[in-house]
Amino acid sequence: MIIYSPVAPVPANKPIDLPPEVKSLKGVKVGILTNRWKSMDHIARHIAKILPPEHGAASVRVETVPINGGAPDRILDSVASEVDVAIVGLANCGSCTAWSVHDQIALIKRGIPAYVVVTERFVGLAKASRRSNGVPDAPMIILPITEDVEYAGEEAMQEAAEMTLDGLVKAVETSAKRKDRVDGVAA
Amino acid sequence: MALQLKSQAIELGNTEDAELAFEYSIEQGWSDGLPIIPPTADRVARMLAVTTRRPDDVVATIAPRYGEATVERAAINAVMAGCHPSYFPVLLATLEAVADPAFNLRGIQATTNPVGPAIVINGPVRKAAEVNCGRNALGPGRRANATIGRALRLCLINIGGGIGGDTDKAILGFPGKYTFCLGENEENSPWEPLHVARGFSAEDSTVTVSAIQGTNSVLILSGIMEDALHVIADAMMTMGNNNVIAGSGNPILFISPGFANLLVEQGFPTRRSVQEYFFEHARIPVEDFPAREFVPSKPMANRVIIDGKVCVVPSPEDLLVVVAGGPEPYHTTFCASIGDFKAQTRKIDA
Repeated sequence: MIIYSPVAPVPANKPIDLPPEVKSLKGVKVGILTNRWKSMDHIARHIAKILPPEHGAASVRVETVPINGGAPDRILDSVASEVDVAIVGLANCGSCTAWSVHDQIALIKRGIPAYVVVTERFVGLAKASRRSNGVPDAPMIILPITEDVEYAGEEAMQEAAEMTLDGLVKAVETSAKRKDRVDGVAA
Repeated sequence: MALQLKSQAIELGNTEDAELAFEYSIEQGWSDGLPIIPPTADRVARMLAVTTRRPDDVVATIAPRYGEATVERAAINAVMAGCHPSYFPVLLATLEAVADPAFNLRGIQATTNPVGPAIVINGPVRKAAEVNCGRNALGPGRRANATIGRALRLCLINIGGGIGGDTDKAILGFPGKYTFCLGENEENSPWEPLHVARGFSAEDSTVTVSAIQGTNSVLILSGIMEDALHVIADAMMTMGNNNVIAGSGNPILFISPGFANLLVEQGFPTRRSVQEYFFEHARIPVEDFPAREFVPSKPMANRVIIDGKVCVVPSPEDLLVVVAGGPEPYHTTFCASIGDFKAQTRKIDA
């Protein structure tokens, strides 16, 4: 007996190149898209408070976006025209993970390096979403499971905020080192 | 000349053993867990023969994988689900409906919410396909109701990549994700059919899809419609229903023909009059919500609040009212929905 596969493959989209990463947070304008999980709001507040004085960021712009729907183009366009790097989240459920990755990639397509913040159990979905959107290497900052982020009180949310900031700082440092190495080879 | 299918062919050996094909489908993750009809070339060809569309036509792309639902691929899934070929045009229209961006399949397929598409069929195709619109229309026993909804689910899995536990993150799910399909009982309804209310002609056959969370039966005993609607409104006013929290979506109220006739007799002449009643009366006082569940920073906070009360639906037309089921007026069923989507209606090609 011969049977036929019912499966559709992942579309063979032409991979989208990631925009150039920022190499330092000094003087950088940062955008944050929050879908209103209260921990994401906390993360946004923390980063807005800490980044300029402690890391020299020029500004932090926070925008609210739908949790189960894409950010409107006008917000994406406006944020992309103003910031140098963005953080999007929180990918902390099924629909909000799918849409956070969508918004992250919408910014990447506009030339903005963007990081999506994902709680642990939704990393697999986030990876599948970025694959099907043609950006398999879109970067993510991974937080613990939701019970240790969203439902665990102020202290846990503060910890998640610090982890997110730390994740951004390390990503930028790694990017700077990568540039140093490239420059070194070139020299 | 035999039809050449473009889909990957799998040789299962010199056997016609259906159980072997079922086991293979389980191994490959193709099934919803139930047995499948082996999608052989002959069976797929019979499905394709009922449409004028070419096998490689792309009907829709299905989230979250955004796989292409070609006519051929849809036919393979329809065979596996057990569809009679006469149902195939219904499936094609349903795929178009759920793939409309306004339906938000990206969110619906991935969500932790126990939600799945509900399919309501209107028009002459109900007769041709023998869709159950009457008693036990949402229960077991009728091939069309069982397999059209199932075929959609298989397409959502195999084409859309909505894999349970992987990309379909439903915390519990609900049995309607296997199938949730019925016809409107137009012949016994006092009102215009749903698809006519949504802008189609009575001669058209259509599918309407909404994204619902489950069924909640409301038992009415008095026969006094003013009281009955009050009781039904109470069933709608559940603080944790996603359409209440999000302030959007399209919940469905299924009412029996007997109940609809009593409504007409007692001052609710139209579907619209029922929708307006619930828009005005199904509202939850803000002070009834625990304050910590109502803070503005909660993720879904676009609730429509009028006179200090949260509306179950943001406008009358957002509540879909469907006449279906057996004749008795006792049991009415409310299906809350997810938020952030719009129900869709599509014409079924003859």
